Amino acid sequence: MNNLKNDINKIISKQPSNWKEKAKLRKNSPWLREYSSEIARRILASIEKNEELNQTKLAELLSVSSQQVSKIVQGHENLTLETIYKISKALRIQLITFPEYKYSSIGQSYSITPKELPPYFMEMKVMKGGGVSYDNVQNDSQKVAS
Amino acid sequence: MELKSIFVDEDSGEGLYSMQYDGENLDEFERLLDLWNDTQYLSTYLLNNSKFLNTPYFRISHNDAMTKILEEAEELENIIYGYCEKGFGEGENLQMIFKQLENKDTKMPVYQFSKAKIDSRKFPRFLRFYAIRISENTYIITGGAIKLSLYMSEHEDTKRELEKLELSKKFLIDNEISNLDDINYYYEQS
Repeated sequence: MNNLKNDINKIISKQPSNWKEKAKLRKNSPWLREYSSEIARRILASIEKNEELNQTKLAELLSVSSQQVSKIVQGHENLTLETIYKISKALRIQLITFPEYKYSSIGQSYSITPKELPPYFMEMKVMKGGGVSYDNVQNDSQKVAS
Repeated sequence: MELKSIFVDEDSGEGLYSMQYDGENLDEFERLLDLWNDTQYLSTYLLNNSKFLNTPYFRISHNDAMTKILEEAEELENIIYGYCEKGFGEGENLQMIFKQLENKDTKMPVYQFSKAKIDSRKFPRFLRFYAIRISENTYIITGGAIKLSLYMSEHEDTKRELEKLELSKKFLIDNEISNLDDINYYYEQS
């Protein structure tokens, strides 16, 4: 195997691949695939459907650079709520939606029940006097922390 | 054309390497994982290849294909990142993820054409890395593709990958990169 190592060393580039750094970043940013990419797809679909719109036009509407829009549609941006709101208005589409909820009477708890619950979700209790308290609740509704 | 190290065991020289072709800024491994994580690239690629998403091989929507490709890219990257971080444990080697290119191929040539993908018996997978095997823990990535057809010859992109495999093999032969000990060991064991 040492022969192989020596042979490879003769031709290997002195500059190693940058892959590992990028992989680490992607591994630590699951929101890139789960959120940023989902938003990017909807922006791209909206632009594709509207003949009068392109990425340059969208950049103008948002008062940002074309490079910034390019990063957004690559799904690589940690978008702020403000940016999401501005894009929604510019494209006239909803990029994020909120689950329905309802309050119950005082002392009773309520929960949001989307189709797929995350590993835990927040339960909000309406307290006497109008205040609220939040508890972390597991999917099986067993409290784990407060 | 040059060779870049992705991760390598310093003592043995075993590990994963990638080709970087003339005119490219990045090696193939880094370039492909960038593309497979780029929503705009994937969206455009799938729109341009929409006829391949409604065949007996694949019957899937644009959006579902996007989701699956992103998931596969993450899974593939995590497996290789795991090797990169932890090294090769007992019984673990790159041969567990890289298989011979031809499913029915029983020979072990010095430069075996190989592929890496996420295993699944339920449904076809989109992503492939293509590589040349040097030993059970030494592979040279030559390229990769979003594989949209059953046979590589049925799509221009996968056809090009076959050419890149041949081109890289010639590069390795010209530079005398091989590991005959590994091949001899393989045939002694079989």
